[in-house]
Amino acid sequence: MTEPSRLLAGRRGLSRPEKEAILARVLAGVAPRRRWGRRLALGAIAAAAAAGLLVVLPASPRDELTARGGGRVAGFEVTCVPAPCAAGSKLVFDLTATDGAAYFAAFASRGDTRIWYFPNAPRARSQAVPPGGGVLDTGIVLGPEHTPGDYVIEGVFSAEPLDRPAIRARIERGGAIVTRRMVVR
Amino acid sequence: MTVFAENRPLLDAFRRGDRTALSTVYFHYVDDIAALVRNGFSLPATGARVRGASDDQTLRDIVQDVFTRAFAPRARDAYDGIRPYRAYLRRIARNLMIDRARASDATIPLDSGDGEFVIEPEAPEVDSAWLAERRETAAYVAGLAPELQRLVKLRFEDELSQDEAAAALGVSRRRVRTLEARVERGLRHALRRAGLWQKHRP
Repeated sequence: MTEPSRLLAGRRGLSRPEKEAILARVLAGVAPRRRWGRRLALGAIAAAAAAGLLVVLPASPRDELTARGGGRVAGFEVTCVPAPCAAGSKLVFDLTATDGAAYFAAFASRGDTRIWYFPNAPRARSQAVPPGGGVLDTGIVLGPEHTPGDYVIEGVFSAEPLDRPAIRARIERGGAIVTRRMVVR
Repeated sequence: MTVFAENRPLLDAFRRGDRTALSTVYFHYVDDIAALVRNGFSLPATGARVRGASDDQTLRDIVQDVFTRAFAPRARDAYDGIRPYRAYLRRIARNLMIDRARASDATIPLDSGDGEFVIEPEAPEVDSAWLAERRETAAYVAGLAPELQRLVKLRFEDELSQDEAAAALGVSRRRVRTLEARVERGLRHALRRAGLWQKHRP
């Protein structure tokens, strides 16, 4: 099975999105951004995780769905502590902007598989976020369900707390989602 | 001629670790290095052949390792801007691949580390799986809305950055990112419907 982006390019070599993903990882290693506030916050998260103070939720079981959607939404970045992302790493979410949203939902997709992060349980609701964004104080442990490979992390911002059916419905209606890539080693 | 030829500002920015300069150098050479890693090479001095990356993830990992080593602060400082940079990157790739080959199959002669090497030619793309996937992809793209078809052309075929594609489409970069994810997701669904995408793909 060929990487979809290569099929869309019509070439078997690395696609532009693949090259960009590789470059992002290279730069993260050799020329990290000087975002001291966020770096300090992530450092604090890492320290808290190491000290056992961070609330860490196991990723919820897989849920196979069909997801569609698009639109303009706020943004987020993800970081694995420690890097690179692997089973046992803690996935930290940094909400770079919220567009006024007060709640955040996120899950990882790979092929037909979906792994929920927020909400973590079938009856739970999306995560309250700090005004204007910032690093969430809840990290996600990457468990064995995160087999090595490329994942797309999709985030949904909302004004009100949403449960999974509401999130699915919002996506099905073409609601706004933000995507990030994560490579699990 | 290297990407730094007659471009002292680029070399200076590269040595400082400027992300824009590093990106410029990376995109100048990444296709060449990826081709080497994908196709493999032979070592005429010993007759040994090192096969290309066996899967997409290995290919991406090796390419990442090559540039991570080449872009490390000490390596940037040591580069004079004159020596052929492509040959330097290829040598890093070659050594990484020899190390990997030795780790899995100790038939690579130990004295092959510094000799010349010949890059294997690209294998002809005639396998039926690729052709079937491409046919299904073409049908899928043909059914997309005009905006998404243009996105496919700009981002995947022409390899524009998200910023460049956004400017061409008259939308935000975030919109491009969202549409791109939608197109890839839709293609996976189309391939699965056609029996060309397996669930729980490794």
